[in-house]
Amino acid sequence: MKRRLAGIGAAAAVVLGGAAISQAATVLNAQMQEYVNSLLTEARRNDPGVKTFSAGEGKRFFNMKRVHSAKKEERSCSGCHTSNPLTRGKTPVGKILEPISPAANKERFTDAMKVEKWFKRNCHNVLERECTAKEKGDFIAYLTSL
Amino acid sequence: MKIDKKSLIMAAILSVAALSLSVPWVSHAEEERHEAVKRRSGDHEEEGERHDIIRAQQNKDKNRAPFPESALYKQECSSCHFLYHPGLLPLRSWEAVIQNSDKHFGENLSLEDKIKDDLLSYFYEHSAEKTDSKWARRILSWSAPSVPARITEQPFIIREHRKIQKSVFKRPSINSFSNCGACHPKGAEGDFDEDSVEIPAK
Ligand code: HEC
Ligand code: HEC
Ligand code: HEC
Repeated sequence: MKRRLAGIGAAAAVVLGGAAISQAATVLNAQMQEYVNSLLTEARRNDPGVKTFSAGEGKRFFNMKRVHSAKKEERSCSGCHTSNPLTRGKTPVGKILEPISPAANKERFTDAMKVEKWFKRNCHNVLERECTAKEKGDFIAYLTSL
Repeated sequence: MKIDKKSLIMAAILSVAALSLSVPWVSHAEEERHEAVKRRSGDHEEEGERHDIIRAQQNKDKNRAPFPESALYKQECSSCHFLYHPGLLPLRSWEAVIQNSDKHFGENLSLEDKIKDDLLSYFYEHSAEKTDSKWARRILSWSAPSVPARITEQPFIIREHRKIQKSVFKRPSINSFSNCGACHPKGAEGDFDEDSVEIPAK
């Protein structure tokens, strides 16, 4: 299963020049395409070496664990969304989260404002800083590749 | 002052008589009162029972408070945890929650001013002060005059859960004392009554 997911991820990691991400599984709507394009522009401004977003990098980022400086506990995106994005997750207060991958939950990555809002909250929760445009783009590339 | 022997003896006799009379006299009066009460409750025993049942039913109804629906409150405040009934905190606490929403238990909720105002109006209408239920009244009277930052730090809530061991709250399907819905399946409807409580085994 893991190998299959990684395979699909690698296949979807192909991103066209300045255009929006095109993946195997999920096609983003117009506002999300626009959002991802602006992320790519910003990512290239920060690092001219950036060519595309990478589902593989996104997967690594999704599962990366980090110790919170004040709470001294391990945190990660997968901590709440679980390491399988196709299944339901759960917050530390016990609230059930619908799957974070659009393959299992059509509402995901359809509303750019919502996505940006939760990047802001959750990146602070896990990394104690905002996510970079590259991290956000890779994250979306991974989850839309499943 | 001079007191003669005769009047002294008279006084003694009188006071002894009064004493000996007074004791049974008092206790008799009391007995009579008890009898009267017993008679009354005896006469109306059946009616009293019926009243008790009705009263219990009324109390139960009064112990539930329907959830005042709000799409905005649900949207802003239920992503991370159970949607707390607004009657679970006094107004001054909700005001503090909104005021400190940029440092909300380690989360920055980044609420826009318009949303803060609308949430405050909602709490103004539906906080514990405005909630007609026994639990809300107890939350209020037990917490005065502090400003509890949490529902779970209020004396009434702590007392109601004092028999539950810490390890129970850590069960995977519960996670936290703050996850009211795990044990109160009707909690979202403002019903925390004893008979509707179900503690998950795992
Ligand atoms: C403390 C728990 C928690 C952690 C950790 C967490 N999330 Fe989330 N995430 C949530 C909640 C809660 C929501 C909003 C509720 C929902 O939509 O299911 C959410 C939603 C999102 C969304 C919105 C997606 C959409 O279109 O609906 C994105 C994007 C997101 N999270 C990204 C991340 C990233 C990136 C990380 C790691 C840096 C992360 N999350 C870690 C709890 C968490
Ligand atoms: C980004 C996630 C998130 C959102 C959104 C959020 N909260 Fe919270 N809230 C938390 C966390 C984390 C805690 C602490 C839980 C714990 O300690 O177990 C908490 C705790 C609380 C508590 C105390 C619970 C107790 O233990 O008594 C209240 C009350 C509360 N939140 C109200 C709100 C309100 C009102 C809103 C909307 C304006 C809101 N929350 C939105 C994350 C969130
Ligand atoms: C682990 C399970 C559990 C959790 C979690 C829990 N409760 Fe309870 N609660 C109980 C039990 C059991 C009782 C009944 C206590 C008794 O009567 O002996 C109770 C009683 C109550 C009562 C008193 C009911 C009445 O009318 O007398 C209130 C109010 C209440 N809970 C509110 C809450 C709130 C609010 C939360 C979340 C912040 C919460 N509970 C979380 C198990 C739980």
